[in-house]
Amino acid sequence: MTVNPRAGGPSRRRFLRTSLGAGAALAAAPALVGCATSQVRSARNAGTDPVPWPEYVPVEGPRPDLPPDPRGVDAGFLRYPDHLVSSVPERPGSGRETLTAMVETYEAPPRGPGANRYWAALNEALGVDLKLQLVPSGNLQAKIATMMASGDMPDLLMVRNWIPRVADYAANVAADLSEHLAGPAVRAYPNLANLPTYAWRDMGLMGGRIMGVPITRPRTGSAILSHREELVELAGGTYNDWTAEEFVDTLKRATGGKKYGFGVASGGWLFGVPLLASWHGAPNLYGLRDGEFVKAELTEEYRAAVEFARRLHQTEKVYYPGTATMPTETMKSLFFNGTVRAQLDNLPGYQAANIAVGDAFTVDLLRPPTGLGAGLTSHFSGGTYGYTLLKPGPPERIRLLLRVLNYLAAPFGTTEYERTYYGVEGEHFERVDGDLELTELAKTENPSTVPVKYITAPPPVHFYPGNPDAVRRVHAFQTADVETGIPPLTSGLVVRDALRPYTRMRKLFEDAVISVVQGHSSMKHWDDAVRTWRTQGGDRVDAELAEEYAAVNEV
Amino acid sequence: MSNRNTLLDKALGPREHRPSWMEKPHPLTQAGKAVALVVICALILVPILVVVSTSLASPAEVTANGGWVLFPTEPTLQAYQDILSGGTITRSLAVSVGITVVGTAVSLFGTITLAYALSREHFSLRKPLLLMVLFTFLFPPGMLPGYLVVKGLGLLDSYWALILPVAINVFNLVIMRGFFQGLPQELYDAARIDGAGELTVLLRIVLPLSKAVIAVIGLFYAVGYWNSFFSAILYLNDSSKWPLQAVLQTVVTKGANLGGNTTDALSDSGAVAAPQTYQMATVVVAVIPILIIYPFIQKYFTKGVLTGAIKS
Repeated sequence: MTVNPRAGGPSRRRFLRTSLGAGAALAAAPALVGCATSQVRSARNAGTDPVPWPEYVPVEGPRPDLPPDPRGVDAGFLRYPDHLVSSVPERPGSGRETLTAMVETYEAPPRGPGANRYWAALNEALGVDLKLQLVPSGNLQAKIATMMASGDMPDLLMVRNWIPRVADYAANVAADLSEHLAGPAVRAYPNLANLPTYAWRDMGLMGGRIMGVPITRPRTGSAILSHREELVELAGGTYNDWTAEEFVDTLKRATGGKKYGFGVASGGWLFGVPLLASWHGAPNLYGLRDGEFVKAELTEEYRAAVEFARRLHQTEKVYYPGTATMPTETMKSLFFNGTVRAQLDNLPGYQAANIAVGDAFTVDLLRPPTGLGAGLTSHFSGGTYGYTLLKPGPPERIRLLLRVLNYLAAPFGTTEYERTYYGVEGEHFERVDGDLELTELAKTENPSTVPVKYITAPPPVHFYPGNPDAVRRVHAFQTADVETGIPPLTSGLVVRDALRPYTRMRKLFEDAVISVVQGHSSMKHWDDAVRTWRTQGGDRVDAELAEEYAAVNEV
Repeated sequence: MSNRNTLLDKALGPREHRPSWMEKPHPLTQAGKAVALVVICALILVPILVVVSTSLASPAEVTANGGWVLFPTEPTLQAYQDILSGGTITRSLAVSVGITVVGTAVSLFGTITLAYALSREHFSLRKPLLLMVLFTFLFPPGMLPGYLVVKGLGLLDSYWALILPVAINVFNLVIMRGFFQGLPQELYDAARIDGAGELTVLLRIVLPLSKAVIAVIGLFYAVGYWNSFFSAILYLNDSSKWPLQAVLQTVVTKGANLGGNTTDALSDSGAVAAPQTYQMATVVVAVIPILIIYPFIQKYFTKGVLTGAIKS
């Protein structure tokens, strides 16, 4: 008889067996937790009795030089208003309350209120001690996941609608604001009532209720910025009022030597295909055709846009080399120094470009060409950056939080806006000849470094101190754009049951665009991607969105 | 030439019997090797040069050059003066140094004592303890359980949250344990005969003989603490406590392209990022301290790691 000397003691095999067993138990834990929390409420709106959207009641302020259009044109101010109005008669807090807010940031952390005059002045104006918990943009999803798992929640929690399950989290954990904000109730907070309805709709209802306050942004999506003087010369007489062929010819003439006609940064810009799809008349993410909810990528117009981008890249060669891998900052530098004569960007990018370029050249916004596909459309963005959830608490606490948000949503032309966006006169800005001039200190102390503009934000306006022509150009662009503008049908809709295929296939079309446009594969790759979407669960996503759309819009 | 060949023949044997690698290389081969070495060196050095040069250039020159500079026309230290003028970078640099020094000390203490215990044959709990340690190596807890443990221990917003959860690295522990096991048993026996207890053996016998492995493991820990940024963002809500790498992440990347919905992330960062001069100056400040330490530790590297990895 052979005796195993290791019998009963630790062995490699026993260790692995034990470890695998324990690992399996750990893996099963979330499922068990799911069983224990069967009372979780769905954020879906289908089957609910949704509350009305907050009423829209504009705040009376200084008259803009260029009028807004509620469909998607922002007011333009050529000079800073001489007389400001107040939209918040009383301080939101008593000066004794402390308030925590978790917000995303793109900046290095600022000095605290003790050494930051902007932050201190804002605290004084709000009447609260605002403690900001900053999260770099790239880590937002991980940080919020820990929030969700741990049960921790600050008084104000900024979220983005692309974070998985965030709507469910809001529906179950955040304060229900319906009684404070739905319908006419929002009038108690005039600056929140001044937020455009499109922003509320883009945030969406959760379980038929209002669970947050939106962070408003312009509706205009991406646009092509151009070096006006050079492109006017290259285009001849047809600049900015062109057919597709004239547009392509101009880009071709703009490409030569060490200059390039068109630059698109890497990331989600996808060679500009989503913009080109709007030029071809494709739906904005989704479309309603013959009563059917149709995903944009499945349409012929979108396919034509991919082919058009492929032609620009492979045949006409107007893209800057390495367009698919170029970081945004590098692409901006190439545009600023004239290497790239037209660059895909957006309205915040337009503002930044005007500041960066100065007098070197005129930054213009290119109008889309005509004659493509089913006819020109403009794809609006949802009109929000994200939204802010409130921690549940006694009604008085909720009202305090809403008063603070009301202050931060004060529109341009109010004293509250001036405090929030420009700081303290004499410290962060000066009035020079009736206009506004920012000081050096404003570069480090502003609503981006102390990122309160990511808690909530007023309706956007165009005001570029010292550069009224830039305001005129962008206002004219929006005015033309709005005539063909279509909002995204999926604005504010909740995908829940089909989340898994949605997440799994989010990259499907992106990868196909990059591969096809770069010439690594033919249009068959694109057709395969469309087929994959239809057969691998994409139809479930489409159906759920259609059901949600019907519930929210009462089609 | 013929004298040289004769000497080679005497030293290495007749030419026809020598393996080809003993032959004098062909000039073309030598040139090829030289070119390859130059290219490899350039691949390593040019990016470093670009980072340093860009940090010394003016923002205008960087923009005019398309985002980077190889040789600045008018070098200036303005970016360094600005970022080190008592603001965020200076504070976070001090935090990083503190965490690295304290964390490395805590980690070395924990690793040495545990490795020593696990290297002693007569320690009755050696095997179960080793299994527990290895279990964490095979099945790391992940972000959410880690967060819940840190929260449960009341460590949120504390610097200890950056140190204690990663205080003992199993890989380092195994190396250290192997090194201790490789020391001659006779040394332990002699110390015992002289009446030394475990603590005396560790302090008077083992540690003085383990300087190489301690230096290398210490460097591993120091680099780990120095480079760590994610745990700071996860566990420290007060951003004034962030170490340099967490700040560096925001300065250099502005969050874009790191995750989430890239298009959305880009869409709101319309303002031009901190000028590349400042980004690169911050990178240099972040890299230099740990770069300075390497030459002092380098001599221990091979000895420390290889010796610890082999149990004799």
